[in-house]
Amino acid sequence: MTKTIDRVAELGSDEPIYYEVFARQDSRMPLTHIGSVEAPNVELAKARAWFVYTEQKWREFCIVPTSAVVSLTETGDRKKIKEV
Amino acid sequence: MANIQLSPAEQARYDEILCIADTKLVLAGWHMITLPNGRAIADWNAVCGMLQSHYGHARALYGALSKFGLTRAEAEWNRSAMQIRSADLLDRPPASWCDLIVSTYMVERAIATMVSAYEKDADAAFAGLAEKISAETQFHFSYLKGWMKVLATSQREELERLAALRTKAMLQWWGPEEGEDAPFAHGQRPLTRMQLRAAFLSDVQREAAACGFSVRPDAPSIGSWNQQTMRVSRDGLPPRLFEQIRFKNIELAMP
Repeated sequence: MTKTIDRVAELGSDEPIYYEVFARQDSRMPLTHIGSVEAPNVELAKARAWFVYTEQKWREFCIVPTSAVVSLTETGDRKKIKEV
Repeated sequence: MANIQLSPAEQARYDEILCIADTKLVLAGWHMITLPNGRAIADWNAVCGMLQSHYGHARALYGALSKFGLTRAEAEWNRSAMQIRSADLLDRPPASWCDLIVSTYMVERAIATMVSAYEKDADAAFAGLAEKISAETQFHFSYLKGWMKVLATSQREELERLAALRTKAMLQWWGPEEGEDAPFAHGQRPLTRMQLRAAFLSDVQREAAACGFSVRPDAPSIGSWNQQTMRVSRDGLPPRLFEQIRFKNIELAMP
C-alpha cells in the first residue's frame, strides 16, 4: 500500500523548499558546502540544519535558500544546484 | 536523598531546580514516545536532538543538586510516580502533532524563562549551566516556531484552541499570585514567580503573533498549588506515563 502524502500536513509546504548548508571548522579553512535541508520556512531550516549537521563543532555555520543561488556557469538542464 | 539538613534557602532552591529537572526528564520521555510521529527524517533528527538535550540537562541539574543530598539513584531510579515533580501540563498526553508542537513549546518557554533567572546566579558553576541550557535550547525554539508557523497556516483554529488550553495548563506551574515565593524570599532567584510568569505569558503571546496566531488563555485553576512540586495535581505522574518514561531494570541499571 502506498501512502498518500499530504505535503502541507506532513512536511509543511506544497512544494519542497531547499536550503544549502555551509560551514567551516576554523577561520583558516574555506567555507564549504556540506549539504542541504528541505524546510517550509527559515526557522525549520535553521533547526533541521543544526540537528542534522552538527556532529562536529563548526566555527561558522550558515544556510542559504537554494533559490538565492545564482549559477553563472551552469544553466538550464546542466544547472547543478538543485531546482525543483 | 542523603541525610543532609538543608536551610530554608537551600530547600527552596532544591525544590525549584528539581521541578525544572523533572519537567525536562518527562518532556524528554514525551519526545521518546512520540518520536515515530515525526513527519520526516529531519523531524526525527530534530526530536532526537531535543530529547537528547533534555536528558542531558536533567542529568546536569540532578548533578547540581547532589550537594544538597540528591543521589543519582534517587534522581533516576528510586522515585515513585508521586515523587516526580514535572509540570502538570505533561500529565495529559499530546492528542495530535499540533498538540505535541504547542505543548512542547509551552513547556520549553516556561523552563527557559525560569532558567534565565539563574544565569547570573551567585554559584558560578550553576550560572554557567543555566547559560548553557539557554544556549542549547535556542534551536528547539527555532524548530517549534517553524512548525507553529506552518500550523498557523494549515490549521489555525485548532492551533489557537490548543494554544489556549496548553498555555492555561502551563500557567498553573507558576502558582497563585498570592502566597509564598520561597526561592525569591530567600534570595535564590532575583525575580519573583509572578514576574517570571508575566514574562512567560508575554513571550508566548509575542512569539505566537510572530508565527501568525494568537493565544488567549482562560485563567488557570491554581487553588491547590504545591510550592514544593509546582503542581496542582496531588496524584503524581499518571501511572501509564510513569511506566513509559521511567528507567527500567533497577538491578541492571545500578552501577
